[in-house]
Amino acid sequence: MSFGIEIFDAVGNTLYSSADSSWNLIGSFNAPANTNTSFTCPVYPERIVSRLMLNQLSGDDEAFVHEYTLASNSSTLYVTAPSSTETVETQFLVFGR
Amino acid sequence: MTFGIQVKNDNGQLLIDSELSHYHFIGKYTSYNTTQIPDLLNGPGIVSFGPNQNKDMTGMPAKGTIYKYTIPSNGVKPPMVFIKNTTDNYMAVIVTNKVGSNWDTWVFSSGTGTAPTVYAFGPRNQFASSPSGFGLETYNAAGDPTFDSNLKPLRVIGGGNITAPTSAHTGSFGGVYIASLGVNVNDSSSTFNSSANEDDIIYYCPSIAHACHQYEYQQSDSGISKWQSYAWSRGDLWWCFYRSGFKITSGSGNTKYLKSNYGVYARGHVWQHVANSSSIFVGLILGAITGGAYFAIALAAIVATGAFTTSGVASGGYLPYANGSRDSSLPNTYILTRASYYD
Repeated sequence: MSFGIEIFDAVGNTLYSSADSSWNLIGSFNAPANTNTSFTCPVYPERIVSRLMLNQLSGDDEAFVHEYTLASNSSTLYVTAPSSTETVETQFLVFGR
Repeated sequence: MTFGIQVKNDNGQLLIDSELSHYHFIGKYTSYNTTQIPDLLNGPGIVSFGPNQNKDMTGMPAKGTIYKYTIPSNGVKPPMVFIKNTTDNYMAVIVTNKVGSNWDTWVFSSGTGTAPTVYAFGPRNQFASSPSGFGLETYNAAGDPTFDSNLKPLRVIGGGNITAPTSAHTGSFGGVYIASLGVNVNDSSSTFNSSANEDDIIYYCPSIAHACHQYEYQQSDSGISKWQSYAWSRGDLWWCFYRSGFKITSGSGNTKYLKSNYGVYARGHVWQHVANSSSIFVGLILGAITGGAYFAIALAAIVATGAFTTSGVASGGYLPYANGSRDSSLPNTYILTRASYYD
């Protein structure tokens, strides 16, 4: 390895290597249910955004998940609730590289 | 940057930043409970006039399985739960719910069989243990630990986006007293390259898409038989509630695919069947079922049996909307790593 960083444990196992970390977590945000909001995250050349429904247990919910907009070169993640009553709390994880 | 640490690769991409809350390996977990949504089945038995066939689940597709896990991570950030799916079933996290200092996490599988092992990751400041004082540790401006080499930081080997199929079923929903509601759509797929064995690749890709389909049928008749007037009416409602899931398959060389499709999360069949010398019920029954009158009675009867409590799931009709889907046009971001990094 001629560049980057590798971290090993006491017996030589690799714990972390920049060589295989293709995406890095650069933001973690929780959007409240039924609410439009925005979050700030670093600008990276390439970003992807993961969504996770939170605290959603009932099978009778229509259960919309928040939608989002994250424009290139923008540090603002806009999230919108498609339903004002049936949008669940959503966790957003933003990964960049 | 005026303080802290940043590590970049040769392309200038940021790999470690003390201001970012990196996720670390919490542990590997097996499920503490396996369950299914109970069948929502209710209606009268044999009635003297009219058809009595299929007052059960005949012809309905099999349900998938719910596996429950509890993940310790004491904070508002839910853990990233990666699934080691070595089956042909589609699997995904469908429920993430904070209970005390743990996160209750449900994985839904489109089939049955052994529960998958899950690998959980969370931010350093939600670990019970304090930093050890050796290795590489970083802190943000507030003094919270953000990276700790002693806790196996998440090593992402790949990622991308995949969108679930538009819906779970296309074509006819059934005929007469047999519903046809099985998943029959093609997988959607996302391609990635990895030299790792497909069984070693674990994925984080929570389910967000779901779908409902229902089939309705009604018959009625009246007349004179054996010198006696009769009238009967029967109306049936069958439905399935589906959740999306994922699996990894291999192509040629290092080509791998993350595939998405649906499994049957819940299913139901509610009917009403009356025989009466009056024809007053004719034409009303199906509307009363789909409009909620009989449906509510049927649901109350199922709740009274304790089936939901026994199964450890919330009670409900599991029919949140008529034919359609939700969130199925939205991309699911998936993140990949290797189980062997943490075994």
